Amino acid sequence: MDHKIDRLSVLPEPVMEHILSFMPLKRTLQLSILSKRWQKVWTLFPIPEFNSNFYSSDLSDVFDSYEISDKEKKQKITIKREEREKFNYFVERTLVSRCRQKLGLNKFNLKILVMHEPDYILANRWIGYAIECNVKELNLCLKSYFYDTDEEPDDYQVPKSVLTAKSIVKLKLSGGSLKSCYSDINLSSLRKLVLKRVDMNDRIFRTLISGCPVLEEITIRKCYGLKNIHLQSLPRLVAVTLLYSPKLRSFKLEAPNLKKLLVESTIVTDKWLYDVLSKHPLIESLELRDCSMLKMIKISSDHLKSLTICHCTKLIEVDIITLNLHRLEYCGDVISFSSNAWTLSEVRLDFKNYAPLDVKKIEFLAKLNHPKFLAWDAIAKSVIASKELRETVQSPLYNVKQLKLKVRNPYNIIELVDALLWISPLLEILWIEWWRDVNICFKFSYEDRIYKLKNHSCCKLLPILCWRHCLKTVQIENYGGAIEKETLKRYFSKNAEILESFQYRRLLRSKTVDNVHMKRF
Amino acid sequence: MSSTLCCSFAKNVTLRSSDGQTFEVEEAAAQVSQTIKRMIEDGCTGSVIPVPNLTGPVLALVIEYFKKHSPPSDGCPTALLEMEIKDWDAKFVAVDNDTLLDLTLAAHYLEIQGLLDLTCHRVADILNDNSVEKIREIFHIKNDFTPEEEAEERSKIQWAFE
Repeated sequence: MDHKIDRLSVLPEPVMEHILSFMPLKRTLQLSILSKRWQKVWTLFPIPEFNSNFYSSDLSDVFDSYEISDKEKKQKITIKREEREKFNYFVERTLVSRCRQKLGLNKFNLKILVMHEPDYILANRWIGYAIECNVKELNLCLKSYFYDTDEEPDDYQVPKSVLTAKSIVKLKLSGGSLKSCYSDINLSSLRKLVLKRVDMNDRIFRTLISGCPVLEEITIRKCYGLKNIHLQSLPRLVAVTLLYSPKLRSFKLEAPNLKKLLVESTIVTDKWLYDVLSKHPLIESLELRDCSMLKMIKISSDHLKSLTICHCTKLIEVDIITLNLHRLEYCGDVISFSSNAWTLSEVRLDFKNYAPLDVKKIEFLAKLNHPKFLAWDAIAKSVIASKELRETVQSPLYNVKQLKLKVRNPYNIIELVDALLWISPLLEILWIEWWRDVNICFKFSYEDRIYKLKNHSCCKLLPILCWRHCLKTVQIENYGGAIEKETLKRYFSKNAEILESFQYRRLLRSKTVDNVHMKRF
Repeated sequence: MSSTLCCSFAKNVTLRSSDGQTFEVEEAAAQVSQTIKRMIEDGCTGSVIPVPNLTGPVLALVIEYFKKHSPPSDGCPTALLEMEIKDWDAKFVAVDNDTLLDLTLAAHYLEIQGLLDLTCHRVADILNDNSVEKIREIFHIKNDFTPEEEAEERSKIQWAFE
């Protein structure tokens, strides 16, 4: 008797929809021949992500290939075109059917190369259907060229209906031009707006913003037509992101409820930052990237929880008084750093400096006040302190329990472990991301209540005993390529006085964790 | 000499499965489930919280998930912990398909977004990696098309197979 029942086909719709969202569109289509129940799987679910990038990626692959002759190229292009025709037909049919049935549309993603008149017509028609279906999230990637030509503005005019669609809650525009949309902008539900490489000017931008009364988040990137940005009269605005905008001359912010700010711009000077921070005391997350005019950062805030400072090349000093800072990310030169943050739970570090560990770097580390977790990207040598240094300077992070090091070059694992256990001598977890996907996770446990009765030479500068005297167990999990287990075992047996157990396991990384980027069509 | 312990002990709640098994679990851990969180907020803590959609063995698994995913005492999970949890997650859903679907439904009923993502992704992986015929076999899906109907369906979406 066949008692096995088909439980997959009868999963609740939202669950099925969620499963399908992890699969490429083509694959989902193929599943429609599983059974009659599956036949309509597609039209039923409100998440068609039409990602029509046949022109852009697929065809450019053909153009790029030198190995095939022109004749073959032509043939391939013809096949692609035919495939695209069928795809277009499918999209069209589904959209029309949704419109007729008034099914609504949560999300519409359209990535399309708009080069010629027929492309314009097609794009406009599909966008029109999506708006007719009261789309909530509209994501348009409209390219006029095969390749990203940043400087060249796009000819394709985004249909006016997009900017008067009251159903849209999230709008992302990549490419296209808004130059024909100078009036009647009304996006009364819009909460999130992303503008990337959109052709427009200051005046259009002002009109656009004044048509978005409930805007909460805005991201602007590579909109070269913008010279002066002024964000004001947006009471709900909480997050602002300004990325690569080299032609910008001024950037004024008046958003009293701002919580999150990310800027990547030469607009940011010491004074600009000071003014913005004093006008926006509620900022919880601040990211400063490539702000090459910044020299000194002084922050005093009770609200700031996360601070990122990356590639600010002229920076010489950071001085922060932040009672509630949890997360700090710093990428750049070793600078003068002072902080009163005792609550850091996570620090990410990347000194753009390949020299061996020196007093200056150790001072910087010590100023971090022992975060719970430190992630460090480095060249192996630059984390290793010399023997002399170890004898004269205190381990800077002796209270840190979790450390993750990403090493950019192969290096002797023993030396590396030894150096890190000097920096943080009572680590509980040490994760080393070695080159070529080799990952090693060390888990250490210690004997409790060992009092420091004797002053050992290895930890004479510390208020506590170091691992050599209290390490009880070592557990190593080795992912990817194998490391020398025996050498490690010898090292720990030799150096840890009361070691009770040493375990080593080789693990293969599971597929579910790695293959997460399957979503694209 | 014993010292007075003044720190607050973690509060527990009791969950009861459809087949009457009961499990005790820390309140903070159980709140990984939005459904249970709401019940606790509505004052269900004093009594036993019924979980009628889950059998004992499934609830036991879900509780394992709760424990692994309960927020650390100070509320700030570190990135390293997260990495470890990811590995744990991958092993957690490497189970037979029946259990996988049980967990998927449990995540749906109990509104555990993380577990729902995890299980649905795993199901999607299986659907991605196998042929249509194999999928029918794995999940016992009965092919109710006649050969002609199937051929017709196939021809409609032929381009998707190329």
